[in-house]
Amino acid sequence: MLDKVISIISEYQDIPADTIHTDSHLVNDLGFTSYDVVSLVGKFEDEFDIEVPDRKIKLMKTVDDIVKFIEAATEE
Amino acid sequence: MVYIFDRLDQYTDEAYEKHLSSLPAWRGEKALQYKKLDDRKRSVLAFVLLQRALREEYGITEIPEFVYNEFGKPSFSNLPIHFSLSHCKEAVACAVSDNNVGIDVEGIVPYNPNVARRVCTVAELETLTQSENQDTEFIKMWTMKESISKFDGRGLTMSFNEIDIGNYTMLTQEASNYILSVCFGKTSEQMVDSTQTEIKIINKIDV
Repeated sequence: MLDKVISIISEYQDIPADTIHTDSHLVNDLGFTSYDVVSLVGKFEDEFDIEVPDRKIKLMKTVDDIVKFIEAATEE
Repeated sequence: MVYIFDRLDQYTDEAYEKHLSSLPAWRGEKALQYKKLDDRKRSVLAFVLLQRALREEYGITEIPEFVYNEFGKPSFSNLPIHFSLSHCKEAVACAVSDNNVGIDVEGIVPYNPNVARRVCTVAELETLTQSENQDTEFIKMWTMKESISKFDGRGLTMSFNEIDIGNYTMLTQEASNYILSVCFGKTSEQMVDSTQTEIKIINKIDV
């Protein structure tokens, strides 16, 4: 799960995967704009077949936030 | 007043290093948080534009440390001046005003219906469906809504697909590869005449 999330982020932002960690912040560390964040969430929805409510997007600040959300959503 | 710099390819590593070393420590640390050099450069440039805007518009040469609201919107705690910063791969922009303001700049990318569904009202989606230039039209809508969310201070926690752009006083400028939007508030409150706002396109950054 973590590896897949990092792989998607790495590809989206063209950042080496080994520099992305669980505590990496999408905006402050990885240079995502707000548009990028919304676009990235769409990729996770497609990849993991989940639905992310709008209100949850802002809570996805770090890689760990994303992984935890996906884990919870795929367990349901 | 809006300042924008879009000649990022001409911003040398040397100029960046000089600017970085001249920044207040708290801002330099923020720039260095970014993994990629290009992101660091854009962060530094946003601050350099703010420095220039405050110097030219208000005669202020020392920028106090930002304070942030619970959603991350920066402001000054001890200056009656509002500002908003934005950067994307294509440009860096800064707005300063006596009144609250929100700015967004975003590169024009291929239209993505999945993103549009989250962002647009039903009427806006209909407009996009009929548009011959969906890429540009959608990014225009995005930057307008993002600038509204930055004006408001709640950022992405706002439901973009419930925002009615028509209720706000906006300024939008289209370049070949990016779009800039500025929100001055609700039209009903008539705080600012957007037609009086000047956009300064900065061609050269002083080192």
